[in-house]
Amino acid sequence: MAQQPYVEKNTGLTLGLNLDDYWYEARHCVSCAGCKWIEQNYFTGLDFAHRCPQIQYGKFLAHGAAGKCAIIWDLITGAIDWTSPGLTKVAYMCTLCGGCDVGCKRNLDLEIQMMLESLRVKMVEKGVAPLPQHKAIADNIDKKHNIYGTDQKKRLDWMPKDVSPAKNASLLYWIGDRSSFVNTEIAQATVKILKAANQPFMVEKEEPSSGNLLHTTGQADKARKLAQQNVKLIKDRGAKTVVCSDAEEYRTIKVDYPKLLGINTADLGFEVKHITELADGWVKNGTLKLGNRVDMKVTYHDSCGLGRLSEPWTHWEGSLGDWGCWNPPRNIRRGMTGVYEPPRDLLKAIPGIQLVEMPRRRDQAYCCGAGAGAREAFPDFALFAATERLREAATTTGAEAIVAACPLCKQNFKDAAKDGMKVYDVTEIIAQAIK
Amino acid sequence: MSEEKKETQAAPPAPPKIPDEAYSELEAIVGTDYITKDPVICQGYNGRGYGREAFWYQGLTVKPGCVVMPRTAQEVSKIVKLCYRYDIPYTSGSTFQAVANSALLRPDFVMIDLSQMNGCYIDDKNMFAVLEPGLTYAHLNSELHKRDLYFISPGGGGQPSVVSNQMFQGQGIFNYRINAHSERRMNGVEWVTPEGDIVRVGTFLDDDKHVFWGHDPGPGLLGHFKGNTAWWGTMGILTKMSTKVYPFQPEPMVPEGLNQEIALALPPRVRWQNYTLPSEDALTKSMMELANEQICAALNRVPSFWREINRGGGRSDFWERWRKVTPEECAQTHILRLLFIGYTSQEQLDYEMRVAEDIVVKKYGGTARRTKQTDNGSFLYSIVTGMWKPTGFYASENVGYASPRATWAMNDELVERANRPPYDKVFFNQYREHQWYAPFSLGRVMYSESMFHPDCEKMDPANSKFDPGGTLVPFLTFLHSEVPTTLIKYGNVNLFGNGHINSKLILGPAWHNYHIWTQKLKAEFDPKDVCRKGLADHMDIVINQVPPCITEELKNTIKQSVELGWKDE
Amino acid sequence: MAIKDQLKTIVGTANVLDSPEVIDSYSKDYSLAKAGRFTCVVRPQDAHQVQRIIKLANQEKFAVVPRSSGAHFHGNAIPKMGGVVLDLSGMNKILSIDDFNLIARVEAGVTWEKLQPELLAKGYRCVIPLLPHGQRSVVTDWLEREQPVVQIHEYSEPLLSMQLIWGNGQEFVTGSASITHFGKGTCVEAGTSSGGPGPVSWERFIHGAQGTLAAVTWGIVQIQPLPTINKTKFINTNRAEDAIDPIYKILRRRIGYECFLINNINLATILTEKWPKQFAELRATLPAWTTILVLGGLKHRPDERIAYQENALNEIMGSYFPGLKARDTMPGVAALEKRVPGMLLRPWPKDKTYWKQAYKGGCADLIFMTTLDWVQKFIPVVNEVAARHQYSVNDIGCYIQPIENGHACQVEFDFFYNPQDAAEKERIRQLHADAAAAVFRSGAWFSRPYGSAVTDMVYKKYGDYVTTVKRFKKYFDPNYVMNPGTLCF
Repeated sequence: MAQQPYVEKNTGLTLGLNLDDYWYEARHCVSCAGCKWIEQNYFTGLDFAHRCPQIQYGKFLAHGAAGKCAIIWDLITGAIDWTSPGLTKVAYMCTLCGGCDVGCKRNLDLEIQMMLESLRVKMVEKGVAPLPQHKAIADNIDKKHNIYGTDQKKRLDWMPKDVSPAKNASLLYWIGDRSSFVNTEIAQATVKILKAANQPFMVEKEEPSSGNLLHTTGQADKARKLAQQNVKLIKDRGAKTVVCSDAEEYRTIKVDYPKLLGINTADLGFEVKHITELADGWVKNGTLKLGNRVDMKVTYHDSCGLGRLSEPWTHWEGSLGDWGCWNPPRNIRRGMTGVYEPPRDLLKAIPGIQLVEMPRRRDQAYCCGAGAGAREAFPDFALFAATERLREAATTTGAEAIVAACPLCKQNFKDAAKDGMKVYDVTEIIAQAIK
Repeated sequence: MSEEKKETQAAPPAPPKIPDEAYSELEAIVGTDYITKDPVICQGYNGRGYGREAFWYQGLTVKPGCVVMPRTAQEVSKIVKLCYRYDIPYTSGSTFQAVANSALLRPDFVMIDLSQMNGCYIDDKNMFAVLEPGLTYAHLNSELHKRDLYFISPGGGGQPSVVSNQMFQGQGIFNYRINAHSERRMNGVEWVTPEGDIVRVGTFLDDDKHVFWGHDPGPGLLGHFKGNTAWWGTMGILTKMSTKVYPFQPEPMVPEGLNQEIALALPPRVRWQNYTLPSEDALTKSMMELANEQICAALNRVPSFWREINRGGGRSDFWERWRKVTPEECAQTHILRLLFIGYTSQEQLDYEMRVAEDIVVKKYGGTARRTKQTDNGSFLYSIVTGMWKPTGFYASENVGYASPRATWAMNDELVERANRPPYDKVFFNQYREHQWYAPFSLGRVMYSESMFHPDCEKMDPANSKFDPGGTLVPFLTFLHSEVPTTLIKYGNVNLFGNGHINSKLILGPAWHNYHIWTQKLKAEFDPKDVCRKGLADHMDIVINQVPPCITEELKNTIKQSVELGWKDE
Repeated sequence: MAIKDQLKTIVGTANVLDSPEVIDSYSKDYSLAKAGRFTCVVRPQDAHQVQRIIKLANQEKFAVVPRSSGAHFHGNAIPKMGGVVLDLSGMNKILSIDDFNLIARVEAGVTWEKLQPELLAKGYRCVIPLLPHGQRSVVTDWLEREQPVVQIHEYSEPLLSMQLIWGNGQEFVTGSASITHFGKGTCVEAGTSSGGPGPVSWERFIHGAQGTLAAVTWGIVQIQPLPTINKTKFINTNRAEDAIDPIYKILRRRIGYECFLINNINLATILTEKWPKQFAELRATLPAWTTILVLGGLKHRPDERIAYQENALNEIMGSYFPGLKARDTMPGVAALEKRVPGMLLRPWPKDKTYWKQAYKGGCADLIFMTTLDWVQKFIPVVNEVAARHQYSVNDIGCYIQPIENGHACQVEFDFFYNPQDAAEKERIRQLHADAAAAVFRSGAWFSRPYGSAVTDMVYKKYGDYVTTVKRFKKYFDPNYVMNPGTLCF
């Protein structure tokens, strides 16, 4: 059958998870390498200049967003077959960290992140994804409601004896699978903070999986179902504020749920906060006291989910007009209002902590390498990225410890650090400082 | 045509492939991790890139047959020799910023990706840097700043390859003090010829590290490696370059801010100052007098729409602001932007600012404007990517290195031509404002780019809005006829276009038939035409496929120039 | 028709010279090079005649040796394989002085003694080598890669566009003057850009070619506004190496226009008015090494310009070199600071014996490039060779010219001798060859290789360069008519 000529889609756009909405992105990359390098004003020399772990590891241009634009063009016009073997690695050896997206948006308005998320959704639709490792996660969620396939009843086993969550409270602590079953020290530190700040909070005894890994691996239908269920659950619990200690859980509920459901973050019916946002406010208004000295030189790693990926989602529908202008105009999420300062302010407020910054920080942060199913499907790549980030921490700051805001970051760093640099979650440091 | 006739027509021949044996040999040279023929990975090298709309019709963007990544000059040499033996065309790229510069004509090309060759050696004391092609300006400059040194940062930004871009032009506003011409900054190159030999030029002949000077022991060869990434990549591959770098000032410039607000906070010894002048004449006179006084580190004229781009936000924000700008405002906008660097001392910077005040304000009636003491686009980054903001595409229709009056005359006439039918319907309206220009070589050379922004969807055959008659052909006519006509009329040299954007057969006679020399040298060094096969002559073939973009006016202008020119007796 | 007769039809009988006196005069120069044999001297008056001569040479296969200066010091304009001397000194018009673009367009035969006074009278200067012979061609000196005493990188390589006749007889123009109707019709372009036409920077080939690729007929040179005030500084050291770090630091901070390092011998030959007594006194009393630095102020606030440079200079000397001083005067030489700026603007006065010849009549200079931090390697090397040849080290002149704010330097060792003494001349020839070999082994870079002793040595090592440059030569000069026997051709 003759190939049908491609007709671009200019109306009925939502710039959600439909890859057809991103023909403009695929066609209008200008090869400026903003997706490969951090913003050049932040360069400190020959080293630590990459923003994209995938192209640094994979080397070929296809592994950077610019190359992916060219590939996606060929996919949507039918010039490349969806079953091409190279596509899997290009699409999935990527943490969807948003680095390329904010790099591109330094000057342009191309929605690279959404294009890449949509690519995975399309690959699942086409039957060439999910990868076996990601399917296994979906199966675990289906059967056991968590990514590990572990008994849900053990979900709160980590809870300290001296902490009693409220039956009802306006604050719901959404723990997440990772902190519930693996990095439980983070959950423990979080509840210690909440208790020290005299903040009543609820937890969900058999908290369902958020669907973070379903969404980020392109399994949008399953993710959407979970989003619907979980939003209802949160509302039914009467929570006004959901607090997360896991950056990936945080961005999933705050950003990806509205995206999947076609609504705005503001329309969720509740606020979503990271523990550092709340704790920072409590320290500044005197509610939380950090009186214990913690003598440590640390550097802070901006977890993607808390940083550049955390800006609220705004639903949009419209068309693409002359000169490539969107009608109506859109709010472009450039990572400028991510949660960068609260974790830093908290660390600086702790007596004895010396905070030193890495060159790649805030919206320019280099991803730990673990997210969006990359750690599960491409462990060597994940290890590479984490090792690279630790090298940056050690070489440029002389810090004893790297501090992140996400159990996925922490675990990936720990695996790479071995006996080297210490790795903490920010909640642990804060908890240490609580008298 | 009847169905029967369709069936009996022969299918088009399959595109040539890279022979399996050749691919195996390439694998043996670089190792299996550094080569691929996977069509998806190869497609990653077929991006739109800068200026695709201007070049698509040349068929310049095709997926390579394979991609190979050497890490040493010896590997590059072996790859090239193999390609030469098998008659497989090859091309190369290092940072792929402007994909068209490493573009291909056929799908059996080997793409030699030099990005893994990114070594750098800096001799701080003698102020030179030895670089491999994968290194960008931002890498180099950020290392140099630590040593109180600096280098140009091109208008294209900190992300092009230093080696590749210096071959192309090596231009940036710092050329005001750092020689207009990159070949005069080069100390030497390591060159893999189109046939695969490794040849060293300049003081590379002696040493890989002490590469301090570019004068060869006889006729100088470094001028050979110039022009659109050295003849649009048709004259082999440079695997190393040594370049002079320049004394800077010692205070750090610290980055701050997020995304669109990122900028370097300038220390007291680096300072920007903007002025508004009452007329363009006052601006040009100020510029020349400042240059004669040999003060400032850079100076340029700032067009209004650049200011609007730099104000941040997205495309819609730009248009919201631009639609409020009136032609009268543009006509009255004459902004001169000066950069001061206290190379010697703070006292020197203060002195220069006083002299600038004497000239720009007291003598020519300028007004100093409040100026942010940050820099987001000169030393490490460049907001030139923002040039895509208004329309999604722009073209530097002309990039000229000409004497000041020739540049101004050319600019004014190009603005006039761009506002005539049919071009007035093609380009986004800049309200006839003067194009930007900046003096190089202390004012002897006035660099300028004429930037015109068409609606790229209407130039793109893959788009349903494709409008060849209404947009593409006028655009190409402007590029291939209006611009060269104007250049030739005033005598400007166009280093950007000659031969690769424009037709060298048509234009060459206006510049001493240089193209005949370049054809001979190409045939000498690449007798099989394997290095970016076909590209040297491609423009001349293709331009005839897009009539009627060559005007009678151009032909007559060339004829008149030749008639007035040298005649052998 | 005989070659000479054919040449006469091109330039006229009066401009084809072959008398014994003329042949003798053109067969040698002030260098150690052996006398050359050739047919005649031909003196064209314009570029068309130059073209016709070169075309004839291609047709008849005789050599053409271009020269445009009236004084030659390195032997490169002496025919080595017969042919004719193409003397362009008669093409000596200053075609234009353009004070808007700060350029002068001059024919190849324009000398320093013609151009510089005219520029000075208008308030400009062309940067100039150290006290060149007044009859040196301006264009040729820059093509030969002489280095200006004003070492700032903004002034470097003043030659921009040029017209030339390639060795194959084709007329060509380099740089932005290459538009075919340059200077005519609607052309506004002034020729200020050296690159192009097209993708190649052709002018790079011509620099250093010593007339082996083309004959240049006119060139456009940068001119500069003349400083309105000057201040000269002197830094005296006992050893050259003690002067190097101060030079590095000073030039890196962009202080000064003229800057060079010179030893007592060369400085004495320059300053001596009354030979030989004053020379003997000066060489004995002058400091071993002197760095001369001239600060300049331009039109606007010149005193302030001098002041900030001087303050920075004092800060450098005080902070880093407390044992040294940047003095306002030269010990032992009254008012030298007042004379130096004017001296350095001009060629050597024509009414005085050229400074390099004033001591003994002859001077063999050994010139090469290096970086400032390598300078100290070469002095003991040269001294050792001199001693072997019983040449007193106290008689060796030395001049070090920093280039482009200290990026590199040109080193010159001068061996003075009596050219009338054949035995001494031969000894110096041998000394020069051995010294060249010795510095070459130590890493000297010969961008100006003169004489077969140097060229043989250099091209033996740089075989790749020879192979490559010949691939270009065969297009620019397919019949090898241009100055054969020179360089590697």
